Amino acid sequence: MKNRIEEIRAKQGIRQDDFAKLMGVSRQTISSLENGRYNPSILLAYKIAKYFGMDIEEVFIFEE
Amino acid sequence: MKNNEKKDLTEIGGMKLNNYNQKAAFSIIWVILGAMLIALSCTGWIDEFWSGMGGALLFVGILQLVRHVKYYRNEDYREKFDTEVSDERNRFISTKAWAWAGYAFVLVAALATIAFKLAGQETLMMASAMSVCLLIVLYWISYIVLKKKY
Repeated sequence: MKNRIEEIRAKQGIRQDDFAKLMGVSRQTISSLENGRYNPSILLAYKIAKYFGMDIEEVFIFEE
Repeated sequence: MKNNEKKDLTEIGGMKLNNYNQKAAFSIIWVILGAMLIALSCTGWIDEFWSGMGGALLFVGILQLVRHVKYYRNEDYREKFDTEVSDERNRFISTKAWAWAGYAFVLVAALATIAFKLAGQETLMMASAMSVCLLIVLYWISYIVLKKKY
């Protein structure tokens, strides 16, 4: 599953470290999410989307 | 609200104070038990095997105590530790690593069973085969329990 976390985070000027703290996860988790190596749980996906003020579908792009 | 519920509300970082005290108490028990085993083994009351076991307990107990003290005193360490423990990716990796370790164990034990049989080592062959059976039984028990839970 692709996502726009890196793009949106950069637009909002938030550092990976700070974003990780805000989401309550490690910096490596944010890095893995942005690289597409790890898919988040629905709870984390919701938390991220909510923080950006967007819907989950706007941040995470589902591909079959 | 009951008294014990009131106590649970006191937290150090992400860990409840009661849990923290319990874990610290366990570490002290390991240290005392380890020291006792070493002392009894050195005086010849028990077998030398137990001194090794005592050494391991002592080491683990001291290590845990040091970590508890660091967790209690150092706020940065506490924050980092709590994040590492609750991080969902770390949990996912840990679960996956256990699954891989389980598969690897079954494979190695199955190959060892065949090798021991060919070498005529019946006792070792049986031990190896039984360990595979035990792991498979444990897997099925876990599967049934988890299936009911989820």
